[in-house]
Amino acid sequence: MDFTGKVALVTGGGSGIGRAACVAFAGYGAAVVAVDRDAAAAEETAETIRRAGGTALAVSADVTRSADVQAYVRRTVEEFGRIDCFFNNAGIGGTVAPTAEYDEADFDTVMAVNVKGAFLGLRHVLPQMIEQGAGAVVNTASVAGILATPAAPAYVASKHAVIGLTKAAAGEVAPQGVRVNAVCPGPVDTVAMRRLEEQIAPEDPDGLTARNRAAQPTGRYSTPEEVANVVLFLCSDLASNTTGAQYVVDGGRSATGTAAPRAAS
Amino acid sequence: MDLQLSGARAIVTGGSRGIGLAVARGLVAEGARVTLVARDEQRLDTAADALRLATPDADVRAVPADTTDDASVRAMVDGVAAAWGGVDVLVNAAAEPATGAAPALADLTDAEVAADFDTKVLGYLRCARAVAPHMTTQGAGRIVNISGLNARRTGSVSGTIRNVAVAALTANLADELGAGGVGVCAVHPGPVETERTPALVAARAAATGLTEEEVRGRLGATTSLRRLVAVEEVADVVVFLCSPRAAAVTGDAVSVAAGNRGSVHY
Repeated sequence: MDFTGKVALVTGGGSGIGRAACVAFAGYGAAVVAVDRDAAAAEETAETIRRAGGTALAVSADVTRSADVQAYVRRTVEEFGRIDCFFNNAGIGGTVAPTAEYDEADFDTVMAVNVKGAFLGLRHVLPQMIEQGAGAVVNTASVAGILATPAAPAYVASKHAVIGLTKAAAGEVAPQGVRVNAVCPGPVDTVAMRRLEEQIAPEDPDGLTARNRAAQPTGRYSTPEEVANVVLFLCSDLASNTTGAQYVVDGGRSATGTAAPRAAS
Repeated sequence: MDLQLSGARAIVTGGSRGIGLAVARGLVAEGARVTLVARDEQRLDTAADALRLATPDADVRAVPADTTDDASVRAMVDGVAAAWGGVDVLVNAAAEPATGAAPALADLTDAEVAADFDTKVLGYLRCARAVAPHMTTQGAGRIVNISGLNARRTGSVSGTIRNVAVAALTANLADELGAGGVGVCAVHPGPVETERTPALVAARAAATGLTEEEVRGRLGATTSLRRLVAVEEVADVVVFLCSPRAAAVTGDAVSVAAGNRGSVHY
């Protein structure tokens, strides 16, 4: 893959999958804009890229605020003139509780970041891509956007909604040469995943991690880089007629059910 | 020469900086898959990202682990084996580098010597013990232990003890694992220029009143080539020793030290 001369905009670029995508885009030659609510984290990603001789800009933004989203889009276009790839990735897991007990304010927060944030990204990046007559968007959904994971009603609903936004937008902008896809990670080795495990099993997060890993047909979580690889593929010309689709990166877990026994090796 | 390292599954401890990071870079350049191991998660991620930026096709993993903790080492090795289906190469480079002048006998504490020994000798042992079954099962593997030239020089009691111990560990592992097709080598780097060297030189200059140029000159004066060794020069030799091309080199130590001036090895 070659992204030389391309401009990649990544939200949630300060950590985890977003950071891995920033590094991968830059490694393949793109100029990168790393957006994160945590300004220091965004800068850390950008500085890592610049130290390696790449081109990167850090922008801090709250993706639930329209003005912030418009600002990161404007900043990207001012600096680099266009947006070729948009990884609409910022998201949160929310609290862990069943629907019958779920806190209303927590529900609103998850929906604001994961759904409204993704919508606002599309709302303000797509006009730029339509004007260019080209562009590729990847939204971060989740396996929880296809199947329900227990005790995460807001997250599950929000990620189903991201897939809905993906399908809706894909059809609208396909005639203008813009593609919109979703990536659906299963468990990934990230800080966010760790926090989730600590919430679900505060007395024994390591035990939960071990059980979760054992339930994966591949016996392990994905790395952020493995998810980023699929994002880059979807943003690349190799995926030139792929749009409105969702791609699972989960070590085979959703294909086989959550308790797939591993063959002894 | 094709080092036949393409696709090789390598673990490099102490991989976030210095010799470990340079070796990792060299292994990636030869097409190996590399898991970097170090304690400091942030420094580790930064190092891994630097490798990925330089070689975006590379399969580079960062696994935080503490080699003074056997459970941490075993979890790390199990994770690598699960991800890649085995381990072909282990480079043991996780150790505190010698900095500045060694303390005099009267000032040397048991705790310092014990900590050095725990990290370097036992740390290397723990990692070798964890990877050995994976290597002997497949009938092949390479382990390279980064030792230190003070195994062959006086001047630091703790430095000499731990590095002689690494050499002894190396020979014993080579004999025991050799039947399973596994080779084990030690590399004794001499005075190496790493990213830590400029600060060390500046501190030494401030303490002694010498110029930085003079400090560097003194550091290099102990070598036959009268200069410091570049970290890439160490890495090149280590990468070769990691390769199947070096299969017949085992149980032995190679110095990459610009020459150990004033001594005879035979």
